Amino acid sequence: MSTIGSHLPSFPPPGLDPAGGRVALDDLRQPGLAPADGGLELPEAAPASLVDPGEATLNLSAWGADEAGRSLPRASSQEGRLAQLDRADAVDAGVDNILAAL
Amino acid sequence: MTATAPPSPEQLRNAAGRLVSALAAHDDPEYRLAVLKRLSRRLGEDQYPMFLRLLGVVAESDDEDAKRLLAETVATALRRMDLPGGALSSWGATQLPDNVTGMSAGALSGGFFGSSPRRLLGPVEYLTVWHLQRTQRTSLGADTFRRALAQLVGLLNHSADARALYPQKLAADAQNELEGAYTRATRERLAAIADAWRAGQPPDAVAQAAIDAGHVDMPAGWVVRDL
Repeated sequence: MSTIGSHLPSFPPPGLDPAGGRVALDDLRQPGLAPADGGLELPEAAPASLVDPGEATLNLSAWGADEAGRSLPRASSQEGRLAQLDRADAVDAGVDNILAAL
Repeated sequence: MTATAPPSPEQLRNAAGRLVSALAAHDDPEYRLAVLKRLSRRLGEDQYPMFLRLLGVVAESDDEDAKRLLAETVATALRRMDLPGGALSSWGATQLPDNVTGMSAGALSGGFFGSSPRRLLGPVEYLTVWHLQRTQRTSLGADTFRRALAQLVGLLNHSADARALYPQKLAADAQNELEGAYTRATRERLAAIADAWRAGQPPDAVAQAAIDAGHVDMPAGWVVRDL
C-alpha cells in the first residue's frame, strides 16, 4: 500500500503559468479556455488540397491562347546530324538534345 | 532541366519537337523504341510525368506525321512487351523525399528501408494506378486523369497496331489478380478502358468509361475492400 498522499499540489502552481497564456489546440473546444483576446484565429476553410508535382507537370501549358496553329518546331538540322551517327550514338545525342530543351 | 522552374510552353514545344526529330532520324523501329526508353529512363522516376507530358504535347499538336511516328513506336514497344514505363510503388509504400531537410517520422514507411515494391508501368497503366491506388505520389486528380488518358488514347489511335494491341494488353492485365500490381478497382478501370477502346469509342469516351467504371452502386450495408 502506498503511503503517498493523494492530495497532489494543483498545477500550475498559483501565480505560475508555464504556458504563458497559450493553450493547447484541444482546449479551444472548451468554452472559456481560449485566450481572452481571441488572438488565435482558425481558418474558415482548409488549405487547398496538395497537388502532386507530377500532376502539375501534366497540366503545364505548351501553347499560347492566341496561337493559330499548333505546329511542332521540328529540328531538321538535328535530325540530319543524328542520321549521320550510328544508332547507339544517335540515341544518346537525341535524348541529350531533348533534355537540353527542358 | 532545372529542378525549380517548370519549363515554359516554348521549352515544352521545343523538347517535343526534338523528340520527334530524334525518332525520325533513323527508320529502325528498335532505334526509335530505344530513344523513347532512354528518354523515360534519363528523366527518372520522379519525372516520368514529364515524359507523359511530352507525349501529350505531340498529341496536342497539328503534326499528324509526328503522332503517327510516336504511336508506331509505342506499337513496337507493345509488340516487344517493353513499354517505356514509369515506376509507382504498390500498397501505399512511400519514398524518402530527397530535397527536404526536415520531415515527420510518420512519413517513413517500409519503403524508406528498402522494401518498397515498385512496379514499372506503361503510360496508360501509370495514369490509372496513379489515379486510383496509394503510391509514393499524391493521387492524380480525376480531371487530369481523364484529360491525360484521352490525349494518350487519341495519340495512340494514329497507329492501327497500337490501337489494337494496347487494349489487348490492358484486358489481360485486368484479368490478372495474382501478380499484385493492381487493386480490384484498378483492374475494373483497366477493363473498362480496354472495352471502350476496342469498341472504337472516341478518346474522350474511353477516358470517361474509366471514370464511370468506379461509380457502381453497391447494396446498402456492404463493405468493400479496395484490394
